[in-house]
Amino acid sequence: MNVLVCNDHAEPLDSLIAVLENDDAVASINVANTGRQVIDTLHSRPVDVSISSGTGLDFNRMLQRHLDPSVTSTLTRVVATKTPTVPLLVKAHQFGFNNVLALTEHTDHIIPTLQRSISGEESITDHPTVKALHLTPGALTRNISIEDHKDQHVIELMGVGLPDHEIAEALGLSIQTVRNRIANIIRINHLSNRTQLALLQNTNWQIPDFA
Amino acid sequence: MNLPHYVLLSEATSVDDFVDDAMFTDVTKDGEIYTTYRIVRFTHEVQEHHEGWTHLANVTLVHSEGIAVAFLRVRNRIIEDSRIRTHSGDTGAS
Repeated sequence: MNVLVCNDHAEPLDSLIAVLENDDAVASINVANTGRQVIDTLHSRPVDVSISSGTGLDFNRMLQRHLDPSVTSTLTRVVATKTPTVPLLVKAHQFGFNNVLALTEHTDHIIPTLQRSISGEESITDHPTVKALHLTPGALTRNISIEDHKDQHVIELMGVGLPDHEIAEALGLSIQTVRNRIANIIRINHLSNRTQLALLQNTNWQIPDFA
Repeated sequence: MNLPHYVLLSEATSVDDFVDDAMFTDVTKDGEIYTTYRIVRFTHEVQEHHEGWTHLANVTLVHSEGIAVAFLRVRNRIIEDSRIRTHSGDTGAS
């Protein structure tokens, strides 16, 4: 398998890289230290699985917007962390990751877990906690779809924390018009609630080239 | 506190007699969940309700299947607030 490790200073994956380097199942290892390196590597070399740290989760989600669909459709994405907490698990699921790899003192499980993640035999969606929440995988990876510029104004004001009645007052709309629009945006983007929409709105930005 | 009065409305009335737009979105679960309904018929005028509801109406879900009864607060032909009545004992009080 061909592996890309998205390394970051906050939670370096050096011990994982050492394990990968010493296993015959790994055909190639690419280590990226910046977002630009991640994007360039994925567009120029064969990569079966990209591995991010827990602290790199949010940033890695942003990178998905810069990748060709031909790359993302075949790429398996895994989070590797020493502390696989429930919030991290749920977040990874909502950010479209395929699996979470627990980094413990024992390393025997690492390669088999990556192989099962690539083949689809093992997935984050099978985790009991994730199953119980009935969430849409990757719901927070999308660009927001809207129907017109009034929708844009509504979600921009929602994104800075205004309640419905203040959005209505600011835009000169009735509260029901605001609510109908919010309900429609939530529906067409396959989201579950207002908070998810506000979160998507506030992270709806592009990675600058220097990142 | 006075009990509210429910005045049955004639079946001859239409939704247009009461509001400009028959579609409204009900917000539940601490402002998180948005559900859109369409008013089929206004059934009662509500008087002296301590939470300010002015009408009861039959409603349908817009984006899926289902019917319900809604308490509505209507002013100047605009629905200002709503509460979906979930069972027969619900009197519209929080």
